[in-house]
Order: sequence, then C-alpha cells, then structure tokens
Amino acid sequence: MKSRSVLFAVGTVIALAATGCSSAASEGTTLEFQTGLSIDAQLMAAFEEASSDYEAANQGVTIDLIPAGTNYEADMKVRLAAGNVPDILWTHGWSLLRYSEFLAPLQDEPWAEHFNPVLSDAMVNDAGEFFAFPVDTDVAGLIYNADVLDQVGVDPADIVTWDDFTDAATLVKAAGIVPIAAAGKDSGAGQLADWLAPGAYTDDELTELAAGRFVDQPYQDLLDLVESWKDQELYNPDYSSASEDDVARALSSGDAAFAFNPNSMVSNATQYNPDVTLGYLPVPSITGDDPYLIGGEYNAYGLSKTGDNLELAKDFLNFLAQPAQAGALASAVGSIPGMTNATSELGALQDSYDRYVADGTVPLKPYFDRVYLPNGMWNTMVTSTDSVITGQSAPSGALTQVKSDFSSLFGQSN
Amino acid sequence: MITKLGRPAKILLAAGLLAIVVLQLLPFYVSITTSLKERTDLSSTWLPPLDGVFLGNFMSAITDGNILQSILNSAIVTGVSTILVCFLGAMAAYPLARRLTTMNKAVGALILALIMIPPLSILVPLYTMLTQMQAVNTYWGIIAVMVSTHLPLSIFFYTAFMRSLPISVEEAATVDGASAFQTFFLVVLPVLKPVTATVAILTGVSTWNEYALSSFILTDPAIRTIAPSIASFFSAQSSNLGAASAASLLAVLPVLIAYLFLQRYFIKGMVAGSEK
Repeated sequence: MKSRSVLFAVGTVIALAATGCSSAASEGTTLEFQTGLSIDAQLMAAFEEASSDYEAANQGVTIDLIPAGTNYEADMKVRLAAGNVPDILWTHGWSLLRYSEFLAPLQDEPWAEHFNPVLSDAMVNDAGEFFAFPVDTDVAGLIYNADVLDQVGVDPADIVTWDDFTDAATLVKAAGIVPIAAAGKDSGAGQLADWLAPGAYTDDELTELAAGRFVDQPYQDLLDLVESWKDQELYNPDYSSASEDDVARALSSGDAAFAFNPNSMVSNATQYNPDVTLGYLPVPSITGDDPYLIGGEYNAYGLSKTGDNLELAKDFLNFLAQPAQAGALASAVGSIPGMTNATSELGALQDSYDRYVADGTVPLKPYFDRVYLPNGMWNTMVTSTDSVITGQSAPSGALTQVKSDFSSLFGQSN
Repeated sequence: MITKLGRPAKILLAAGLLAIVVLQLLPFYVSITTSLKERTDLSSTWLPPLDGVFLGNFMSAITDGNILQSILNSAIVTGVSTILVCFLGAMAAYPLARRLTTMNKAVGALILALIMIPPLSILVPLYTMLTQMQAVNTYWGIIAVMVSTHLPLSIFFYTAFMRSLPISVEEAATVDGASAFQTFFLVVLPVLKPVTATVAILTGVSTWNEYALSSFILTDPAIRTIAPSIASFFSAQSSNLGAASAASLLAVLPVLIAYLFLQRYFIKGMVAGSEK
C-alpha cells in the first residue's frame, strides 16, 4: 500500500513537471534574441523598450530577449555545432570571421545604405556582404581617469609615446595610485596585447602575418614593454584576481589611472560613480608611428540564415535600424551609432570623441587578433601576456608559445 | 571509543571549530554586505552598509532576475530528479546485487565506468540530441539529463548496500509466494532508507547547485534554474554584483529552511554506511 502511494506520488510529480513544461510554450511567433548582455545592462533596457514598441505594433509577435552569462561564446559555439542557431544573436566583433556562414547577408536591407563605412574593414567581405546590424561603431583608446592625471599634473594630450606614458604612470604610482588596472581574471592580459600589437607592426609586417608568416621582433618588443611595466610595478597588485568589474570600480573611485579596455568599461565605471571624469586617448605606437585608435564591430546582431522566422527577424532589425531607435541603442552604450543617419549621446566620452575622432585624423586600426591572427589565437594572447605580467615566463618564452601556436592554428585554419 | 579531553585540548578544539565556522560564514557575510549596498557605494565589501540599507538589489533580483520563478524551477527539477534517481537506481541495482551472473557483473562494471565520464565532455552531442528531441528549455529535458548523469552513482550505492543485506528475508518472502516485484517493493525497499537518504542528499544538492550543463540547456528565463539565473547578472560587458548577491541569498533560503527542519536526516544520510 505504502509503495503504491510512493508510485502515485512519483507519477503525480512527473505529470506536474510535464504540465509546467507545456505551459512554458507561448502562442504566436516568438523571436529568440540572444543579447549577450547582463539582465540589467543599459543596452538591455533599451532593447526591452524597443521590443515592447515593436510587439505593440505587431500583435502576436514576441521578442524573447535572452540575457547572457559569462560563457556566451561557449554557449554559441555549442548551439552552432548543434545546428540550433538563435533567430537573432550578438556577434561580439566576429560577424564576418566566425559567424558569417551561419548568418543571413543583410546588405540588401533598406537600412544598409546607412551602414557606417568605418565598419567595412571589419564587417564586409570581398563580395560586399555583411552579416550583422551594428548598434554601435566601436572606437576605443587608452582609457584614463582625468581626475587622477590632473592630480599628478599630467595632461593626457601630452601622452603620445610609450615613454610619455611610462613617465605619467610613474608619477601616478608616486602618488599612491595604481597606474594600470588590468583584469587578470577576465582576460585583461589579452586586451593589453590587443591594444599594443597594432602599433608594434609595420604595414609590411602585417602583410606577412596575414599571409601566415609570423614576424618575431615586433611581438618581442610588445612583450618587453609589458615586462618593463611589471618590473616597475605599474600593474594593479590584485591583477591575478581582478575582474573587469574590479577595474571599473578602481577607475570610478580614482584608485587607478589607466586601463586597456573597450569603452563599455567607461560606461560601467560611470554607473559606479556618475561624477567621475573618464576619457580615452589614442594608443601610442611602439614603432614610433602616430598614435592610433582601435575600432570596429562590437555590439552587432546577426540573423540565423536557417531560422524559421528569418523574414520577421529582418523586419525587427529594420525597426531597430530606424534613426530614433538606432540612436537610442547607441546612446545606451555611450558609443557612436553604427548607422550614419542616427545620432547618439556619448556621455562621458563626448570630449574624447570631439578631440580625437570627429575630424578623422587619428588612424583607426582593427582589433589585432581578429584580422591578423588565426582563429583560436586569442587564448594564446591571453596566456602568454599573462605569464609575462605574473613573472611566470620571460618575454622570450612567451614569444615561443605565441609563434608555435600561430603556426599550428594557421595551418589548421587554412 | 570516546576519550575524555583536558581543558586546554577542549579550548583548542573549540577554537579550531570556531575558525571553521567563521570561514564558512565569511562568504555569506560578504554576500549580505554586497547585496545591501547601492552600486554607487564603493566602500569595502568587508564593511556593512554604513549609509543605510539598500533593498533595491533584492527588488532587481526578483523583477529583473526572476529569481523566485528560478527557485520554483530548481525545486521542480531537483524534486523530480531526486525521486527518479532514487527509484530507478534502487530498481536497477536489485538484480545487479542479487543475480551475480557474468552479464550482470559486466553491466555493473559498465555503469561504474559511466561515473568516470565528465558530463561536459559529451556536451555537444548531448545538446544536439536534446535539440532534435526539442528538449532544450524544457523541464523534462533537464530532468532527463540530471537523472542520467546521477543514476550511475546511485546504482553503485544501492548495489553495494543491497549486497550487505541478508538474503534470507527475501528467500522467506519467496517461499511465502511473493513475486520478484513484490519482494522488491514490500521487503527490500523499506530497508533501503539509510542509503536512500545518502543518494537523495547527494543527488538533491548536486542538482540544486548544477550550473555547467544547465547554463547550456536552460537559456529561457521562464525555465532557468537558480545557478544560470544568477549568472545572467554577469556578461562580457558588465555585471551587477549587488543584485547577483541578493539573488544568491534568496536562493539559499529554501535550502536553509529545509536543512533546519531536516537536519537530523541530513546528518544520518551523510554518515549512513560509515558505521557497523
């Protein structure tokens, strides 16, 4: 009798679970939108507002905005491998090189004529196709805390070489403030290398790299510079355990002066302290050329070419690409819109934009690893630079690892 | 054998236990201070909220993070998975424990071998299969995965425990005319309580806390369990530690309450089999 009761209880619970399962399904058409954003991000709020407006105008359509955890990339890799591609997905700078074979080309959409040509190098292929709607045009430099630099008597505009930078960092350190905040826990070493590398190689050497021939000396120079900052103790003491959030907090509270990160870092830091004055300056070049900015695709969204709701997803993108919507979305991340017919509020970064970007004289270089290194090299960039910062490896040892992985991965991808 | 301890030894023991308790409670303390501060409060996480308690993080955990729904989801997934693991584990173990044929020994070894396979190593084929079965973002999909991954250990425990039981009781039941199923349900099952408690606790705790597979299989906020839900406060671009801490604390409450009421069974279950 007792065992029958147990069996009945088990059956009831399973039936309840199955009922709950079926109740989760909704009627009408639902677009799965993998945002890649945390659930309370400012851009997420902007997407929620835009989605509500779209749903109100299109009865029966539901935009399912899915927030991401920190393993978004791994999640997407698994889903692509399984053939379960979301209707709309964040391409985080890889719409062309990684995701294009899974995405629908969008160059014939009504908004395509307003696609910012600055993004062409990163997002458009030789056939003139591009595969994502760019919310913003990512332009990044060396992030600084103006209050800290002012305190130690440094004008950020005077930093045009790495010697200038090191001198400024030494003054910052003498004032008891961390000169360089890097997130060792969140691949901060890779970002540091990604920022320095475009200025370490000449155009000819970059051509060699793109052809699959690794050029040693520039990367050695890069790692030597990284090591010299370690020897001068310019990195944050908690480098190994620091997350991006810790870097944002340090910048916002005036506990750090410089960071090598995309501008979303500024947006995060101002959430912690709305009164902080942050900006970015062009990245000095190791070769002695002019300082440069780094830019390209970041917040961009592609559509599954095999999705059942492709036409509806295209219609939703058309809605997002309207000047008012595109401007609001770009304002949420404090970036320049990806559409030339939209305008945005740049917030804390307006001054830097006016000074370095508006007139177009500062060269804009692409993210180094995406263009000049084979797929899979990001991890090597992170671990090799990290090993130099933490003193686990000399630059020569780290260089050997980079060179070896470059050859191996280039061979695999070609 | 219990040895009487001297006063210095008792003090030393108490100090050691106190240190362990403090270490265990530290993460909770940091979570509490973090969850009660505004984002703009940049004071040390070790300090309590000196500028007044801020409950906005808890509101965010409930409204943005949908944490209450996630707790319910976790309860459903954990409850059903644990019951199935115990029930199916015991049933599968019975013939393996009582019919020592070559085939059964081989099956037992095979099940034992399954324990050695790291679940993440089969992620892509598993996810592909679940996609084809339309089991992604469903309760039954994640329950099937949880049951499959926990069954081998459960069968191993039940088999070992059943072999230690005297077979004469079952033989007596057979002589009295009981079928194999009747013997199992009416004679064997009632004496499996100690090992069932162990299996239930191991499966329940592991499923409640599961993140590695759930984060891939459950992406829909309506179906997400607790761990992936809390992770949604973190992304490559930004994170909200205050709301994540608040969500974690809310998620701990049901387990804490359950533990307070069921402490006796938890301890019994954990030490079952360690005494003769």
